[in-house]
Amino acid sequence: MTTVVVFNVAREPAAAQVLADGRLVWPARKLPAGEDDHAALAVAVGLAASDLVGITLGQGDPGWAAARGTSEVVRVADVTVGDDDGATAAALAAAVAEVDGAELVVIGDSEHHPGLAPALAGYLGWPVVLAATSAVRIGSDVEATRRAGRVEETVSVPIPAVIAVAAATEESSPPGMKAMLAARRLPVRDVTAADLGIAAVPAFEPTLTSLPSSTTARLIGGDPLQAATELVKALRAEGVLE
Amino acid sequence: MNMQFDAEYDIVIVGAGASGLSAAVEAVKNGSSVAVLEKLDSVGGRGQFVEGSTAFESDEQKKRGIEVTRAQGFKALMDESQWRANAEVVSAFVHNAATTIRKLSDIGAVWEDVTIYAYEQESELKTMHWAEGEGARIIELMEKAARDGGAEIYLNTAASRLLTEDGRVVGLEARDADGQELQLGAKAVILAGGGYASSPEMMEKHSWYGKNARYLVDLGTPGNTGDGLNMAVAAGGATAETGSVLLMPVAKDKTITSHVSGAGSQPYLWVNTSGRRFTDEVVAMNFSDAANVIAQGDQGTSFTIFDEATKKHLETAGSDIGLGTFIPYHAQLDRMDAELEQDLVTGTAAKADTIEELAAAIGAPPETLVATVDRYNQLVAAGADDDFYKPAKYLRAIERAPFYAVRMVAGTLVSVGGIKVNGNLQVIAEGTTDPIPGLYAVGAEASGIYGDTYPLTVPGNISGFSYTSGWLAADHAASQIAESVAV
Repeated sequence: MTTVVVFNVAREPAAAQVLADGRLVWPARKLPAGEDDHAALAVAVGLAASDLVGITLGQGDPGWAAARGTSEVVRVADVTVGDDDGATAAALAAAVAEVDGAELVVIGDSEHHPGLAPALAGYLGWPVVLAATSAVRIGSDVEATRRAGRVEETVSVPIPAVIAVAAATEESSPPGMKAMLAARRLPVRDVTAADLGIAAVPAFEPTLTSLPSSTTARLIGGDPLQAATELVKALRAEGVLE
Repeated sequence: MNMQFDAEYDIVIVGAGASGLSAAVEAVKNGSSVAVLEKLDSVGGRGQFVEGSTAFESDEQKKRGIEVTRAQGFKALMDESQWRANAEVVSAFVHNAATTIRKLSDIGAVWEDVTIYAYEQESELKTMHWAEGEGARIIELMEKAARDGGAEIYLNTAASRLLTEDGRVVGLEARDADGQELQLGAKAVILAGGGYASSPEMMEKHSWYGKNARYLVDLGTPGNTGDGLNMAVAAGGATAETGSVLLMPVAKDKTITSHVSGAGSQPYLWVNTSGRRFTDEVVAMNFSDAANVIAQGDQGTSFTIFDEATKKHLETAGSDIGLGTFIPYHAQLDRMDAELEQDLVTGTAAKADTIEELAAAIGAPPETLVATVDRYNQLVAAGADDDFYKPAKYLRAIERAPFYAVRMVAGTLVSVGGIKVNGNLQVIAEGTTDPIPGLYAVGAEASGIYGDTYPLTVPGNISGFSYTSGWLAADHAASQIAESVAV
């Protein structure tokens, strides 16, 4: 009857630095939380019937999740996040198996790691709901709401399951410093790939990255009223406005 | 006394702007444990808006064949301050500014150019290092480097009081995003709050504009409320040169990228609220000096007067002087009509078919403004400004209706200075020449390189000083911590 939340397993492009020679440099120590992690954690807190256990990899910050509601964090200390979502998912699935009574896994549905949640569900042999924006536990099911374009859909999935949550906004009120400092004292269980009986995640990294030579931009000039109308039309066409 | 701390660090930095983040990057590189407290909900502060950074004898200057020696830089800063600057602090800055450029390159900064600010300004040194993405990009790079190095950055967390023990600073009190009070232990505290420009009360009290400070418009982020200065003084720190503020002319209620504001910043006819000309408008070339002029006027206000021919000139040939990247030199100010639709309603600008009507619209005595314009047109016709000696190229007649007036005020970019420091950026104890152990002030919090105004002839100096003083303080703090451990 344990809910698991997976966090700090998505590398967001904003955290990367592209050097002049095309090399990509990712943070060496800690990965910033993924863009969807806060939403996943909020959903997981609501779904947790009893314990909420966090799972992360070597560059994850256990305190980040502990300050937001996990009672314990399992960290696969010698596995780091790469570009191979399948390998990351294998490590996470092995870690989930270490959590007693794990029956529900909530994870951020990262736009940049679209294969991660489905692969994790595949390893676990559980169904997965992608792009969830909210979820509630109803009996032995989870009822999740998800959005695809302008369509909102409610789906019911039997537990055990993987719920991949997409954040609609930035985190509105992150915990304060005092709560984050206190969270560091909560338990962290470090395990290794060897403990889990998996191979360390093989390096799978881009060797060269080219940024676009120029940003695609469209200038709308002329009469302000007409320009504003045209801008709104263009934003609607791009799906920015509804 | 044994204090109970919620957490202990080697260094706690108050403020995550240009100087604070620079300190954080260096501190983690030195192996120090670091917490950065930022009272706003994002990092960067006014450092996001800076354009370029001063350095002397940098690699970037050398590879472009530019020679501006450290000695020139030292002399320029001391002369500009009329030697009110602290030579020890100026020397530390001048000596290390080139290293700052290299350090920023190391974390990913790309320098696009090294240049000056105002092309026709005499004696300006070619010290302005323009980074790709300007100050905002530097902030982004420093935040990444600091976090990646292990610095903990806490947003919405405001320091409130320094904690001292036996005369040394041992930590501080703060209030976090949840409103919880914290006590943090620190072997060193670096004050990097960016000055007091967001506090009208402190501006009126400390800046040399006095009561006129109430008319200044704050152009920056809202967090610069002088917390560092107040905390340092409460802990026994000394102040020095508290009154220097970096201003920029701006049209009332407009942004500095506005084309109406850009037109108002040109060296055409400037009049005061009485309709009288009062200065050589070529001061516009140095935006800092220009805003000083405006800030001293009645209600901290002036009006820039021009006619339809000059408006067309601005729209087609472009601006005669620039305001950095905000209004580039010769930028065609072709958004004026669109902006004026609103600005004529709000009183930011006035438009009239006669000078008398224009005077009435801005509240000046019509006969005075008519006389001012007549006199100005005489000077234009003569091709020589015998009143204020403006170069003839900026004398443009005011003859062709409609006529325009743009209401100009002085906008505050940042206050520069307040806490007295030595060349190591250590805060000096009031009434002594000794530093308060464990306490530093950097960037706009620290006094030392300014007299009573910002020297634009050494362009990029506040950002250059912010970055440089930040890492210098972190280095000195690390050395002091290492010494105390060795003892």
